[in-house]
Parts: sequence; C-alpha cells; structure tokens
Amino acid sequence: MPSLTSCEAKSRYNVIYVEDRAADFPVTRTILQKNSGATVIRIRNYKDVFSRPRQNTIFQKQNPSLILAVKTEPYLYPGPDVCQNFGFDAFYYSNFLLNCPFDCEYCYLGGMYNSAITVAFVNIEDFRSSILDASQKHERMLLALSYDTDLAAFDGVYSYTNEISGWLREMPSLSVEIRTKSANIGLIRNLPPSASLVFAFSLSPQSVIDRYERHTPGLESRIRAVEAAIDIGHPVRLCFDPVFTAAEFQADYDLFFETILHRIPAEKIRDVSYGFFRMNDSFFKRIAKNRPNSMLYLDEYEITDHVVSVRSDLRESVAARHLEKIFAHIPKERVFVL
Amino acid sequence: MLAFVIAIHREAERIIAHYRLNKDMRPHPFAIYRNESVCLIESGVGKLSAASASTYLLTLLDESREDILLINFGCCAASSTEFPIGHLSVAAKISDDDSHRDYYSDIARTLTAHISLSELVCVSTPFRGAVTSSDSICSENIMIYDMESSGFCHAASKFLQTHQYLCIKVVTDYGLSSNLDLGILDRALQISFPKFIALIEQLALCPYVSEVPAESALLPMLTEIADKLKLTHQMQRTLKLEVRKALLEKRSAQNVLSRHLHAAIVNPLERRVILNAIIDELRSEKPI
Repeated sequence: MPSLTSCEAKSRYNVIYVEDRAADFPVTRTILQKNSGATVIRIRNYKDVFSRPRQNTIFQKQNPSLILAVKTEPYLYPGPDVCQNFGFDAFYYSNFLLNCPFDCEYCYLGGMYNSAITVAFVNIEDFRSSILDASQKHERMLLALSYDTDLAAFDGVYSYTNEISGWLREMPSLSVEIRTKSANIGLIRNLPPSASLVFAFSLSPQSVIDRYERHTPGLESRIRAVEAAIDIGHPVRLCFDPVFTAAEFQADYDLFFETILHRIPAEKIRDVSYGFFRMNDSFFKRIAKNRPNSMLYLDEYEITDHVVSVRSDLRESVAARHLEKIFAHIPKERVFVL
Repeated sequence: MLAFVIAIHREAERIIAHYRLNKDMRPHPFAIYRNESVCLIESGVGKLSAASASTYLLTLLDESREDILLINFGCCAASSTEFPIGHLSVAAKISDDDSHRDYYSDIARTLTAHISLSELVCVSTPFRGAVTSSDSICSENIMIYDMESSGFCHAASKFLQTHQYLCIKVVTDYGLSSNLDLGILDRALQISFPKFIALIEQLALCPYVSEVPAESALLPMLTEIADKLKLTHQMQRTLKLEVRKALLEKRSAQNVLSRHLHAAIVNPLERRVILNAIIDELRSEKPI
C-alpha cells in the first residue's frame, strides 16, 4: 500500500479512503496501483466518512475523493417505480458504486446522500453470487447497474463493466443495462457484444448539457459513442430522460431529435426511453437548499405521492411534440414513456 | 475569516506577529487576538480545553460562520524519526485515542500537491514514544500525536461544515523518551513557519464559499417589509423565493420592494393582499 506521506503526481483521486476489511481485495489493489500517487487513508467503516453530518457536496464535487469499501447485503434492490422496466418480469438494480463522477444539477443523488464522495464496493464476488441466485429465479430479469452512478464513466479507475460482461455467460436469463453519459469508446470496443448487455446512452441537447450536466461529454462525443456501439454490435438504448420543459430549450429539442434520429439508424436501436425531470420530494428539498440559485429548483412543479414532477399539462403538450418526431422513426412499441 | 485555535502562547506568537493581531482586551475566558480578517484563541493544553475554546470562538464569530476557516495549529510528536523535527503535516484523519472516534477534514485533501497528509492521534497524556496502546488504530503510516486535535474537531464539527476545519501540526519530538527541550520546540516552530504561512496563503487563494442566495443583498429590505406586514415564516419564505427568482431572471426586485417599504396593515387579510400584489409585481417586472 502506498505511503500516506506520498504526494506524487496528481492522480484522478488525490485521496483514497480504504476500509480496513477492503484492503486485501483484488479490486482495491488494482485501484490503488492505478492511483499510486494518491494518499491512502485507512478507515474502519465507509460510513465514518460518507455519512458524516455537515458535508458540503458541492465542495466535494470540486475536490473528488474515493472510498473503497465492502458492501454488506442486500446486493440487489427492486427496481423503483419511477424507472422503466422495459417489459421485464423481474427488475432489479444494484450499486457497485455510490455517487457519480459527473455533476448533473438535476441528479437526485445530491439529495439522496450526505456526501458526494464516490464509494466503490470491492467485494464483487458477493455481488456476482447474489445476481446469479436472483437470475436463476426468473425467466427474464433486468438488472440496472448505473442508477446511483455512471459505471462506464468510472471505467478508467476500475472496469466493473468488464467484470459483469464476463458473468453473463452463466446467467442466460439476465439482461444488464449500463446507462451512461460517458463517451468511452475504448470501453465499448473492448467489451464483446452480447444481447444481454445493453448500453443505454443518455442524450440531451447541447444547451441542456451545458446548463445542467457539468463534467459530462458533449452531445457530439456521445453520438459518436452511440455510433461506435452500434458498429460493434452492442444493443443500444437511447434515453431521452430527463426532458426539460423550459421554453428556452424547446427549439433545441426540435433540432436535437431531428439530428439524433437522422444520424442514428432507427433499426439499429433496441428501444428508446423518454421521461421528464422528476424526483422524490425530500431529495428535491435538500438539493434546493444546497443549490439556492438553481432555477431548476425554483420552478413550479406538481407533487404526487412524494414525487416532484413537471405539471401534467406541460408534460402532455411537450411530450406530444417530441413523441411525434420519435414515432416518425421508431415504432411505438419500442418507445417507453414514463 | 481565518481563525486559529492554538494551545499555548509559544506556538501562537509567530502567527500573532505575522498577521499583526491585537489582543482583544474585553473580558474573555481565553486569550483572544484579532484583526479584521484573522482571529486567534489560546485554548490551553488538552482536548477539553481545545473543545471549549473552539466553541467559544465559534460562538463569538456566530454571524460569519459560513466564511470561517478554522485551523488548529501546534506541536506534535511523531512515531518515527522519518519525520524530522520541524516537519509540517496536515491531518487528513484525526483519531481520539480514548473514544476511538475518528474525524476527517475535507479541506485537507485539497492540499496534497503542497504538503504530505498524516494520521493524527489525539492522546490525553503526553505521547511516550512507544506504539500506542490503541489496537484499533492500525496504519502502515507514520503517526503523529497531539493533545488537542480531537476536542478541536469535535467542537468544529458541531458548527462548521467538514471543509471548514483543519489541523496542521509541527513535529517537535518523538515522545517523552526523546529530547524534550524548549529550544528544540522554538527551532521546530521557526523552521516550519514559512511553509505554514505558504500553506495558509494557498488555502486563502482558493477559498470555497457556499452559494449565497441571490436575494442576500436585499435582506434588510425584506426584513423591513416582513416586519411591517407581520408576515408569517412561510410568507417570508415565499417572498424570498419570489425575489430570488426575479433576480435570477434579471428582473429588478429592488424597485418592487422599494415601492412597498412603507406599506402597513390593519388586519391579516390585508397582509395577504399586499403580499400577493408584491409577488405579482415581481413576476411582471421587465428584465433589465
């Protein structure tokens, strides 16, 4: 393990907290080797750092650090109602990581956790066993792996996607979704294409990316990543989610849908997910407090069953306009609207 | 505001001289030195003293708490001579040797390009020079030991966010078994001082300030209107948010508020009517 006194060349994370029990896992060793310049701090439990009161998540996003920890059960969670199940009879999600390398203003993670520090769980064998058990109980099971993070964006630190891709042979009923905003073409090229591993690319107009999606690749880079995935033969899902209804974005959305559906061959797209900005109300309140000057959290919304969402009349009018364009290229049965 | 919590005067005197701090002559339970932007309190030795002095100082500085960077500076012992006398270190992790509670400073990790980070153990009695009796503190790293840091962190963590406090320590000995001498202590403080000041300047170069709500500059007007209209807490919040929205959309909220500064009400119904009128005006104001 590198010495604590080391302050060599900058790595992606300049401080890595390592749980005592996580120290000997191969994933830990790999990550520490890749970040040999990082200061390593041993901790008893990841929550000692992650769950401290009075953390400033915006400061932490500007100064990222990483915790390597051992996850305890459960390793799988039932898919949430606010997310698409794409017609699968069993829908789960799992967290190899907590928090995301990106910093999207609309992301619910800012309201979900006290901390913006990324936690990487290193006991991947425990995850594998649990996923295997669950997959054997269902005929068709969907597992979403990038709900509380962006797994593909973390690939430069550790390739969980590569590990998972290797498990798919022994889990024929499993379909895995890797949802990402990254444009990591290297990862896309390195993974063998599989009908069970779906790359779900989150796409937004460049004006929305500029406004809300800090540190993420631009639209053009993401489109190139989609094209690369299609060329190689990966199943590809396009996610237009979250869609924003502010009037200033509507002309951009029109151009955006035309560009995307013109450049990406519709027959090569497995399906499309479409949804508006929505969030648990307590997460919303917490983020609004941390980002007092964000217009996103000052807008008026409706709240139904503790979910904050765009007003239904606005939702209907904007969706009608967008879906008309999408349906012109992609059959309705392949478009999942939430 | 830069604020220091320091155990003894000998450790503080160079900082007092560097920032030209004047002794606050008002009666305080601790010696306090200050100028317009820097404040220093001498806590006395031990974690209880550090905790009570930190609490006292933070209570004194109550109004500007969001802008405070609180630093505990002082001497420490090192577990190995690999850290020479005068070695300056920033604590990334602070462990209380009695309670086994750990504290972590978020700002420490922004300094890795400038200084090495350490694990600091806070002990109740002077470090003897052997391996600590605590078997829960396991690290392959060189440890440093002091007698104030955990009390300081405990108090600071109650008032400040985790990026607002930091422990910076100078190695002055290797425990009771080593050569303890005031001359060595002075020399260690002297050697480390230029680096310490450079570090403080580095922190001052990129201060992190939490996002201030857009309407902050108009708070006096908002308070005056709230008092005159006897607005409820919820009404005040609604008005603040409307003003914030107007300002972020480049509409002049100040003009609207000025027009209502002299409003007065006779009954609660009028209060609601005037509040709604203000909100309507804020919304219909043209962007500048």
